[in-house]
Amino acid sequence: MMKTKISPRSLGDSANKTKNFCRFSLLCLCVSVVILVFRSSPVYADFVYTQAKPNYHWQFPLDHGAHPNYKTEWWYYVGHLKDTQGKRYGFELAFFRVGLDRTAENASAFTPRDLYFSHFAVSDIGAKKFWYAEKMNRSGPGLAGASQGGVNLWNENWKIWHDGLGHHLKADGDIYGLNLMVQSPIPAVLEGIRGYSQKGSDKENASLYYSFPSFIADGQLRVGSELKTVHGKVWMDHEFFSGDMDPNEVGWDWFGLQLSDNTELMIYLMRQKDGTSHPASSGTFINKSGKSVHLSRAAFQTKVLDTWKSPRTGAVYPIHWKIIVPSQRLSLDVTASISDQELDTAQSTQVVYWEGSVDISGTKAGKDMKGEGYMELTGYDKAFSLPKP
Amino acid sequence: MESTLSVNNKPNFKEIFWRFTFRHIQNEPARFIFTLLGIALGIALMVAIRLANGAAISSFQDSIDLMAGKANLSLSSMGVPLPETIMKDLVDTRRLGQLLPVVEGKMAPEDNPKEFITVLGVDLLKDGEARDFQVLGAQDKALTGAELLKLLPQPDGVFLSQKYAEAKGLAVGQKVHFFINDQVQTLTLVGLLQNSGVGRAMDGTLALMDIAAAQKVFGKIGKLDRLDWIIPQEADRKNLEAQLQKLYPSYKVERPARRGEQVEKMLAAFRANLLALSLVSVLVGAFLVYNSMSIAVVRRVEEIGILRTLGVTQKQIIQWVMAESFLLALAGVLLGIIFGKLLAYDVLKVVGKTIQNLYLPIPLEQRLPSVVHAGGWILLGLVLILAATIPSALSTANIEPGLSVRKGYTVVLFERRMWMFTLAGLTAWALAVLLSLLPPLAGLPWFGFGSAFCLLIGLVLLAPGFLSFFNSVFGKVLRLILPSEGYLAFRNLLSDLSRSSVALGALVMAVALMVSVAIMVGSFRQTVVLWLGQTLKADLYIRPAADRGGPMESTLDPQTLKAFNQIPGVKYSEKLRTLSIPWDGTDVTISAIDMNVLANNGTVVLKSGGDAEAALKLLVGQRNLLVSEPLALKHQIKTGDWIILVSATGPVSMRVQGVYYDYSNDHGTFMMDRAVYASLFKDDSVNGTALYLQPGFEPDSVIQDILKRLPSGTKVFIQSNAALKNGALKVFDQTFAITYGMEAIALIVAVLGILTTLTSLILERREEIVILRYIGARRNQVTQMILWEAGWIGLLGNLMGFLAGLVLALLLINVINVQSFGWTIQWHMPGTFLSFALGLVFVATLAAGYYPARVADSLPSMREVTKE
Repeated sequence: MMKTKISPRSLGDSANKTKNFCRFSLLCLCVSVVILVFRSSPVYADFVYTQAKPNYHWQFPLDHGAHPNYKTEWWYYVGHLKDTQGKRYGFELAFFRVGLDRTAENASAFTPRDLYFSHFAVSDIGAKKFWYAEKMNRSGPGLAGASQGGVNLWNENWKIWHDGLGHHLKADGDIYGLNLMVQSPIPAVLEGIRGYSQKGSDKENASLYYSFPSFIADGQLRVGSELKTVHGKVWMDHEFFSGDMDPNEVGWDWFGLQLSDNTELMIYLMRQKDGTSHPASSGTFINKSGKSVHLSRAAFQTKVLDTWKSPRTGAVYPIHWKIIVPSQRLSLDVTASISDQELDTAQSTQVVYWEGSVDISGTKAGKDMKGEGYMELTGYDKAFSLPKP
Repeated sequence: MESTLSVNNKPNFKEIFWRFTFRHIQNEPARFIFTLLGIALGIALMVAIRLANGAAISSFQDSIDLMAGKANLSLSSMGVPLPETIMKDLVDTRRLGQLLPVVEGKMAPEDNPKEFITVLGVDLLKDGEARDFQVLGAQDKALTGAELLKLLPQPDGVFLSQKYAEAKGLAVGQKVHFFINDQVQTLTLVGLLQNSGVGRAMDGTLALMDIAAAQKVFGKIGKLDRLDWIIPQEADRKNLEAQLQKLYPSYKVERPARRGEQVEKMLAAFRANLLALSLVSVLVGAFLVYNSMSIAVVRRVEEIGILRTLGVTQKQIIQWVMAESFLLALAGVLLGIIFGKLLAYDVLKVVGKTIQNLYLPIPLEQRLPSVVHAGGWILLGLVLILAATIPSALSTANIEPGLSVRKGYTVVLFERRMWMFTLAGLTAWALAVLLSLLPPLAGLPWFGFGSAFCLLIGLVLLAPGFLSFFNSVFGKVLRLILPSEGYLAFRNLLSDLSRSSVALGALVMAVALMVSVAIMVGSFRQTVVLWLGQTLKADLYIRPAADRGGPMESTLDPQTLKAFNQIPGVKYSEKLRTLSIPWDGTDVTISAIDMNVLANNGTVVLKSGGDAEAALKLLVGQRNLLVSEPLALKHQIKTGDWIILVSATGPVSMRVQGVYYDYSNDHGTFMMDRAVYASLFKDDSVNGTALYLQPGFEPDSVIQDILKRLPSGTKVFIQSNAALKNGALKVFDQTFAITYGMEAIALIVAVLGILTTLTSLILERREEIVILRYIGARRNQVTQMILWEAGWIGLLGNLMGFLAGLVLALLLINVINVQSFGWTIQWHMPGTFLSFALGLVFVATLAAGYYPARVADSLPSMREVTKE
């Protein structure tokens, strides 16, 4: 799913001043690339980004690596960890690559051909606390990058790499630090139709998208100065595309749900201006053995049960959902582990969104079941629904 | 108030005071106006200098601060760029705060290569966190993030300041040609910097580029000039600073704010000297006031005597005179502040130019600080001027009721005290000698200034003694050889020493100042001329085109250097690398020269270290160096000492082979072989080259040849030996232009003093003149007598001033200059200039006699007196 992970809170104390103009600009751009309609396609004489098309020929592990011919790409790891005392933490570690002009004739390593964003967030579910940090760099002299041919991502000292055994996740912030190895019992799951995930009316409003929905994670989480041994389950998404969002869409709701019977459900709803979801919205059900079933918009029903209004921005988020997938006899109650997992970047990016851990209860074929997951809600800020005067 | 007059009449003090004062102003508008002008000029000059100094310093510091922004720690190598991979090694320090890369460069606009622009190459996406700037697109509209990102990859994109673009008529999107190092490059003006923050720094000559473009354009791909950090926690900052110092001993780790402090330190001596010089005109002004007020008192001896008989107390009289002085001084000072503010802009231009030439090649913003900045000095001026009025006010205490009516009273009084003046004068001179022997205080020649002050004060105190001494020696001869008007004029001066000696004193002071500064500057210039002649031996001097108006920072491409060797007629090329490195708490220059060429073809002049040629040969390929004189003096370096330099390969010790004369800068230079430098500092860039031609080749035709053969796009600035010398002297003259201006003002103040004195003397002696006319003196005889008086003051003033000027020049050259700058200056008397200037002073004093002569002329004729 298209996700926007921009959280300058760590840097944002001096926002709103001219000094921050550049950071602000950049974030605006990232937002405009990723969320907004980026209508004016840049004119590059000799280089045209490849559009995501159906029937992409997937080659793993090659496709775990970067696809510099596509404008936008991200690797996204979200999950839940439990320490030895049973305390629960949600986390998210995402690496973004946004391609810029590739034609500049400049041998300088600082030439901004791509920008790399990284986002690291931790939800302390027991303490109901949410924390995040971000990094932004051009590649420069090895400051940030994404290798082709396999998972190898870095942004300063935040890194994700594959060493033959599994993916290693390493990130460090002022309060939290993460050092995990994740392994998947199942092969990569192609989302959409054979990995082609259409997001709007136009064929080019689409991404190439696959997931590892049930990584098993082991490692350490640093909380303050305390190093905790943790174990848990992680969801990984990797998407790349060059197209724009459908002009009629204002935001989306995304769910990555890991159920206690070792099945998973992914759903995204592209919300349109009139509040309805676009017909291209869809989902995927993954069974224990990793086999996936594509769910068209008609194959699932959603209902908002409760909302939470942000005291900071006034945005009202649907944080409690009912999701029904009749074909799988699934009836799920999805609710935020912490109400406030909002990223308020109104002062710098003027974008406000919600991203965080959810708890799941419900039934499958009449039998009780539980689960954990991550939910992303965008476009609930006033700026999206009400045009500025 | 115990005046008997005021028993029935309370506001009496004020009333009498206004009458007491204003009637005299009405009677003597000239004295009043000239005194006022004299004070005003003196104060104006001081205020102007102070404001201009303040403006220059704050503009430089502003520029430095704006360039550093919020950065509070920086790492740079000693003049040589850092490998950019160092940023990757240190990127983890971002957990403490922001880390930003910087590339710096200089470039000159092709259409005016004497100007230059400083370019900061920064990560435009992040740098807003450190530096304050706002980028604008076409029609001065702020760029959106998307617009900026589209511009960012442009490999030749530059953001110039709004101010600069407006001045040059440049529009966004336009291609602009610049000299960068020795190449012409075409840059694209992708945006403008709003006229605030960085866009205001260096008077609009600071430009921004994205770091990628800057690396490409300045040939620094893979390199950085600096890393800047913004570390919010001081403890973290200190820790990091210590760690970096440990990790990179050969790099410079500093707080950027320190650069501003260094500027202040670097300019301290220059500013102190300028201010001290300006203080002299205040001093001259103070004498003018002293003179004027003593005349005011003398003119009112009778009136005061009558007032005293009427019961006015001594205290009241003193109060009146003091109040009058105070008002006069205050009015003069206020006028001076107004003039000073007007003058300050011009002074700033001149001072700024000098500072740019000598110290910091940064354009200045023409913005003056508020007058408050000069407040302390204005107050000092006011105190000096008021102090000058105290003696006259106190002297009224001696006027007894009745006794004062007796004529010539004050003259007798004064002569009775002459020995006291002489004694005080001699004491001041003794003090001057004593102070001149003391070492500098905090690097500045405060005692030297004190010595000069004592010398000048002593001079004035000795003036009356000198006059009577002159009379006792030449009096009789003069009587024989002079026409009666001339001798009478001389006697007039002598008979009223109390006034004439003060006028003389002020003139002497101004002349002494002029003579001494003229000798100092003349000597300095001659020394530099000789030095240039001795040391500049090559035929052609070549620098990258970008360096024409800026500092020696740009480099010559190896291809360009190669091309020089292939030019017919070129015998040797002597390449130079010059850069500034931190050493022993200050910045010093390294001058690395191809020593094998210099040793065989050129030379230096050694102050110590034996034979120059032998010393130079010992530098070839060896870790030996020469130290420039100012550096040796400031850091007590002697031949044979060992200097430890922190090079790219770690600390190295180099032996001091000698101390050489160098007048190119006052912070100091280490001269060494370029090959040795290159291997130690891992830097073989070249900032300039000197060519020695084979006999029979004309420099001009070789220049033409070079220009023809240079690769296209390569631009260099070539000067013949003569042109380089002339250029150096032009800079020199520019530097000292202001001192002439200051002397002129001091002289004008002194001449005003003569005008005042003579006018008052005439009015004082009106009865005497009338009697002279009555006993048969012709109108023109009286006029001539007055002109003679003026002439006498001019002559004696010139004579005394000249003699004192010689002494003062010795002090300036051997104490103040050495303590401030550390140069050896060979004594040289600028004869033509001095005779012309002294002649002019004489003419000016005569001219000053013209108005009083006219006054005398208008006194009542014989017939009117007869009627009386």
